[in-house]
Amino acid sequence: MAFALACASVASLASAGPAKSVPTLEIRVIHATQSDGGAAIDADLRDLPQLTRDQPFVRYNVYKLLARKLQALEEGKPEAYGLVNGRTLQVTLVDVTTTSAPHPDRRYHIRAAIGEPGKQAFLKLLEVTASEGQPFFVGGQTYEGGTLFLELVLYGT
Amino acid sequence: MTLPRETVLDLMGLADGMLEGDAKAKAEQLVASNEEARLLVDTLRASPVGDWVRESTDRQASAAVAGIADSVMARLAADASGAVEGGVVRMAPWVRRGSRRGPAVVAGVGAALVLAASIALYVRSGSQRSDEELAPVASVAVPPVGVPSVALPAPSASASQAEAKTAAAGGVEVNAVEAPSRAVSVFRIPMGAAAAAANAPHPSSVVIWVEEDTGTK
Repeated sequence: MAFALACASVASLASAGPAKSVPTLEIRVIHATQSDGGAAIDADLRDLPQLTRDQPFVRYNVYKLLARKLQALEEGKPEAYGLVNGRTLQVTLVDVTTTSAPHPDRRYHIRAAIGEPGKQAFLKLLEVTASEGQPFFVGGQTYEGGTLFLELVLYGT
Repeated sequence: MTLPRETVLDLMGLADGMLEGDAKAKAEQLVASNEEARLLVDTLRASPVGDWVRESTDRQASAAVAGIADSVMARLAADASGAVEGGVVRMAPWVRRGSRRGPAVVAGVGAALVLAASIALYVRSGSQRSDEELAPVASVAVPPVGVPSVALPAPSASASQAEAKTAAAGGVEVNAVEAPSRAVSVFRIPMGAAAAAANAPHPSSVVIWVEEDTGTK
């Protein structure tokens, strides 16, 4: 009897399959300004010194990390994130695909928008497909004498 | 980089010496500030097709409609390999935003066919993917690094709407951008030594830059 129950339990677990992984979105809000006082990059922005050699980062020389958030993303479920300028970033995971061998690569298709209640959307629609761990940026929002860069990175679980 | 079809028409008109007034000034300003615009105008001016277009518009176009199209297609096909570098530009049919058109762009039926054929071949010269031909605006093979890969001009109508695909070799692919009444640029950037040292599979990234309205925030 005990053996039968054990077998049933194992069969039940096997049929359930692996738990569905939920990707995590990392959002970093970076404030960039141009200062005559010299360049300064927040120590938390480890990769940014490399990026600042190129447009549009080269327009600024002071970078400060204002906020950081990790957000689990489920397919088809929009997640909203309030920005420091009063706008809201909304991100939806559309789907996840995996490219085939010899270089399998998990690709995240996401849809984003930046809006503000009662005003015309700053960014009505952005659709991006990015590899795991591959950051991309949304820039251009003016904020306190500079601009905001939103860095978005998706990670698997 | 990708220019809207209407802008390409204006640039072709500029290359052919057919633009005047504000349209000409705007086109010249674009050429001065935009690498792709400059490349297009230089290519058209340097090409025997450009000379031929200019000559054609001075003739009675209606008498040679069919011949013009065939001739342009043949000449452009022969010239296409050197007209645009390595598939940098791929554009697809697009619904025009407004009714503005350079007054001299269409100088007659023949000239219109010439321009249309030129656009078609200019577009095709960099395109290898027939499945992208119905994309609303453009598909772009992104230049290596450090330059705007897609420049979507500020709209004259209600919205700036585009679909743009960066090179699909992994990394970040921008599928669509829509920002009403704002100019949008997409920059491809290298992730630099840090990514290379970490053996990152796709050591590059993308910045989607949306111009803020003046006076906000």
